[in-house]
Amino acid sequence: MEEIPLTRLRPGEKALVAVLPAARRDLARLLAFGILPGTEISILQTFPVYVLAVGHTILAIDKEIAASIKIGRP
Amino acid sequence: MQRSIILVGAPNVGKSVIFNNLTGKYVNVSNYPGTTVEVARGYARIGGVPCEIVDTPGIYSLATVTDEERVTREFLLAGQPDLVVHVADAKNLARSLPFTLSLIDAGLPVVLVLNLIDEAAAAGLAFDTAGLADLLGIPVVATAAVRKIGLDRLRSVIAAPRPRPQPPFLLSPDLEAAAAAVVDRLGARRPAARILALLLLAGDPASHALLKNDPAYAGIAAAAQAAVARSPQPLALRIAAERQVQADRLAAAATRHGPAGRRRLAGFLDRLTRHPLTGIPILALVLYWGLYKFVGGFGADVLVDYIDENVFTRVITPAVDYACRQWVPWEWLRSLLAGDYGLFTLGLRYAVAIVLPIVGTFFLAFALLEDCGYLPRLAMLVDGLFKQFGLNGRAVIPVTLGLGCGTMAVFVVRTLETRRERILATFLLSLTIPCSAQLGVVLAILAGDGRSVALWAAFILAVFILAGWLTARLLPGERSPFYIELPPLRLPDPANVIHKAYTRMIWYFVEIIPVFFLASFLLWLGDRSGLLTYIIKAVEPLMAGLGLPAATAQIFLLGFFRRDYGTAGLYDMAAAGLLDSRQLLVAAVALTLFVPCLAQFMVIVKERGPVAAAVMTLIIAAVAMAAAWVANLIAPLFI
Repeated sequence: MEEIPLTRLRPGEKALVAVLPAARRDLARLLAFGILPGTEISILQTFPVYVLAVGHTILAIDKEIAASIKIGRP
Repeated sequence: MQRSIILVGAPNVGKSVIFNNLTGKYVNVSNYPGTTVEVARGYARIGGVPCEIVDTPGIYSLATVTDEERVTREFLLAGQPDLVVHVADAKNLARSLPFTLSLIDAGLPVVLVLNLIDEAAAAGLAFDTAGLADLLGIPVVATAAVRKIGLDRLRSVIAAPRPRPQPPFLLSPDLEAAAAAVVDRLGARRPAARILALLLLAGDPASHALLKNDPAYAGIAAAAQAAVARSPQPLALRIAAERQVQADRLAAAATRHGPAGRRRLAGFLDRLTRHPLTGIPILALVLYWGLYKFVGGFGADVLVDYIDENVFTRVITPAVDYACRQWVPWEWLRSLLAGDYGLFTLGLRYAVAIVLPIVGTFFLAFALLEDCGYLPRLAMLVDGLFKQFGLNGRAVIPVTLGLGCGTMAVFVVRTLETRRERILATFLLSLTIPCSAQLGVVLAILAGDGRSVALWAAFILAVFILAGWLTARLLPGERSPFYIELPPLRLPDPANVIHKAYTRMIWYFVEIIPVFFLASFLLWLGDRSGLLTYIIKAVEPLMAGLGLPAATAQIFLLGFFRRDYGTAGLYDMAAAGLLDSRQLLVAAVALTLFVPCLAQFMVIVKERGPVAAAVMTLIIAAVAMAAAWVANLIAPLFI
């Protein structure tokens, strides 16, 4: 399985989270939103910020955080 | 014996609506993450038991980041509450349960409330609350607070005897062993020792800071560090992952899936408001109708004229004049009450006739946007711009609120994460963001000339961007990451909107009336003692340098007491035809940028410290004068 940054995905695509950012603050935030390795996310929008759907939660994050999340692609 | 009950939960889950229903008292019911400015307390008798209920700023977990979130954590871990009511969004049960589990872990008596059960039902979700209660060992109540569903059941749970703290949900043996080693050093009798140990293992800086001065800290930190070193993965990640597995299992056991109803319109509007191509035009429309037409037009024009002409000029002012002449023999008291700087003629009239209608309409418009969940979308649209100022999209909330009342906005700045962001946002708010009273008056005095309004707006916007860009570079610091939850767009609940606007207005009135009277009194005193004339004489050359008549000096002094107060004085001068259009523009620019009003200054001192407040005020005064000077030079090119 290949690990690529979330920013490589296009709107409408779905993927499983593989690696979370190492920065403690970013990690703490994503964990609090229920984003963990193995969580399925779908990309709703990529500009001006990244908008993700995680279950019934919709989350907007900036490009830097999005780039620090790696997703697995089979 | 009064019972202390604490409401906790993530932002946007309806905590404050539940609080209002339980207590019937004021709280800021917010649909935006992080606008519960201060912790709200209410008192109520529930099932015959006297209760003190505390509504806390929203948090997603006990690993806190902002000061505001730390407040909630303090309440939970140090407050020893009799009952913790965890309010969760039922749709997001699996995401909310890890927090419930950590509350149980902390040894707290917890009740779980699955709120917004109506939204969950629309999404095809139903819940076995009894089953979940059995699995968790705590009471679970399903509610739809806005529709008052399930609240009686919640009341009976609150009135019931205090639930026994439950044994913790254990993690895998090596994590448990690591936690036990830290608990050992902490002392097992310390309240919430286990959860504190887990937070320390996860590297939570607030928990480490809490214990820094503890004599046992070296040993505690060493025990935590040993566990961190043994683990190949960050412990924060492992603990969260194991919690999530437990939460997913519990949520799966308690959730029944049915066919989802489709909310086509909400989904459509949701996409329109967050896509830049449609979102930015919608944003412009919201600003135009909400701010320019409703606040600037209806509030500042129609309402101000009506109250000033029909209430004050016709009734109150003549009545006060008459009463003074009839019953007040002393000239000094007559002038204090009804003279040029009189408490009634100046203080009360400005507060009620000019400022109140403008601020009131603004709070109504803001409450509407807040309640329907629009503000987080606004934040994501402007994130890119605010990044240029060393801020992120979240800062748009204090900045927008600053268009209503700068004093309140400086309070809300505390929802920003880093000290640098808080200083940058406070500075920009104090320098460039005109409050609704100023906006209304500026729009009213420049109203005769659309070009002047456009020039004024362009000039202020340019100063905003330039000042933001420059200060971000002069005050370097770490990047501020942007993340925000976008709540579903909800039809605003009129009762909620009115309640919110009303309570903010009450706050404003309690805060503003004393300052207006104080300002009136000080001016009266300065006038009687001759000090005012002296200061005005000293400032007059400065006015001349800006090409303004000497009489504007007085307005700038008024502006120190309240910026809006100063602009209101300008309104009087404009109405008397004492200024030409270039002078009006220059004066409007200077007063918009000029030092924050007395109330805002006091809040800056309280929130950012006296040194930061003094430095900011000096810089702001200098920048305002310089900008007015530039405006005076370039205005003839356009007018």
